[in-house]
Amino acid sequence: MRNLTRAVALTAILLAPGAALSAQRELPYTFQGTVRAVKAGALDLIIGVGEAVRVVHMRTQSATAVFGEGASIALGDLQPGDVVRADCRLTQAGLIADKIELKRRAP
Amino acid sequence: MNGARGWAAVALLISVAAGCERPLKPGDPLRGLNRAEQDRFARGKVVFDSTFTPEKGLGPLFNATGCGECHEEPAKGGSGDEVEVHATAFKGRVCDPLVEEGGFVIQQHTTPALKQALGIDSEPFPPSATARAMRTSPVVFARGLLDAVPESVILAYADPEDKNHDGIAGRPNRFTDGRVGRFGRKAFVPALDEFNAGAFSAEMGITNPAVRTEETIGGKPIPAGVDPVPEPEINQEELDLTDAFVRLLAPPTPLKLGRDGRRGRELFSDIGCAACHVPTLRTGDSPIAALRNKEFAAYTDLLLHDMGPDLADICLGLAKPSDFRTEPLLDLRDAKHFLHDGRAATLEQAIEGHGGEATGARDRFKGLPAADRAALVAFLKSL
Repeated sequence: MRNLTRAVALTAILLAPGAALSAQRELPYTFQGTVRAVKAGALDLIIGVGEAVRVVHMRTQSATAVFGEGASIALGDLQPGDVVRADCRLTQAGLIADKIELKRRAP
Repeated sequence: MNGARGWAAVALLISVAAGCERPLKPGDPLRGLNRAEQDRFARGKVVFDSTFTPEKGLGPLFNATGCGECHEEPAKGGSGDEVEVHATAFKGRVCDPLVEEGGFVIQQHTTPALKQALGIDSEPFPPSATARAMRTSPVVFARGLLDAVPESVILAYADPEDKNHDGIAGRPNRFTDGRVGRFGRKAFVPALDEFNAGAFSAEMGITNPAVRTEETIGGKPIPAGVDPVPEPEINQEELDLTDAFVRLLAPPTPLKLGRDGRRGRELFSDIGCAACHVPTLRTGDSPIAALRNKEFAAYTDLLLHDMGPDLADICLGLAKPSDFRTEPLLDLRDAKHFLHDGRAATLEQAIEGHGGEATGARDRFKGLPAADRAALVAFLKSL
């Protein structure tokens, strides 16, 4: 619940004006959610609390570690519907994923 | 009176008292609450029964002005005559809850300020949706007991590949983060506190400490000045009290069965209804003694089952359009409409509307003599 609360709170930060964002330090955040979309350098996760569902947008870098099924995998191996855990930090440029771990494959 | 006789008299008095225990009515709290829990139940009922206004945070999109507007018959925590709209997109085998278009709950009302700003009376229906679902408001009795059923109990009833060849293939749904779900018609939501917090947002547009951002308007931000109340619009105490009220609502005591009802209860098992509508579940550990290690009449396995194409509507999580969670059979005696969208006006129609994995049980019901069908319905009306 704490992670979910933080996740939704973060969404508020992401939706807030840039001035508020620029005041943030590089705070660590962890999300566990369902992959909505995966593109080169970007990942969208669906998170939520009950019926209140939200999307978190994060960017990836070449250093972002992606793991799944016991091995290192490529970001492009992730598919919509996969459940992942993403360790991120909030920077002035937005949310950056440092580590992404596949927890459950899409059906 | 000697010692042995005295103890026997005390034992007799206790057993008579237990037998004469007042039946629990719809809206009553669980038995065995301590004073603090009774107090929280009473204070939570006040929040549950509150009417929110835009000045108190309502909207700008909403389905109801308070929990009690929809969950009100025959008592607070009961059902309602409101029917809401949900929508998702089923893309291949993956379900999209349409978050970028405002989420799967399509709110049917707007505050005056939003109407003035955008000229809309409800949230726009998402263009990417592949299906629309209508949802009645169920009773929320016994939800604390359902929340306290260990996940292992739910998973023990699962048989997704129908290995026992009984035609029933129950499987758990999972939330966005992979946890096993149990609440909602599609068993999408894993925990009661999260369901309640999410409902404040999705049903009333009330932000709270667990959901600090407003719903979008079909995916677009709320116009400036439309919702001036700062987030969160209710505090943790109000959220916790509402949760306490819902969590501590008791299942109404079933009515005493007559001969027909007893016959109907046997038939309920004999024709296969109980394969999914599991009569009793047992809770596990809980910080609340009244919820701890309790066996209760649930009539659900909290799993998804394919109910056939006639009932199919939206996907949600791992639930395909035709998958529905086995509905707990609670307070049927007061129900005025049945099934997830209220399409059935009678219990007979509801049973005959079952398909998919329930086809066998439905056909056996239809094949019963009229007196036996009436007996089974009499049993259901005792719940």
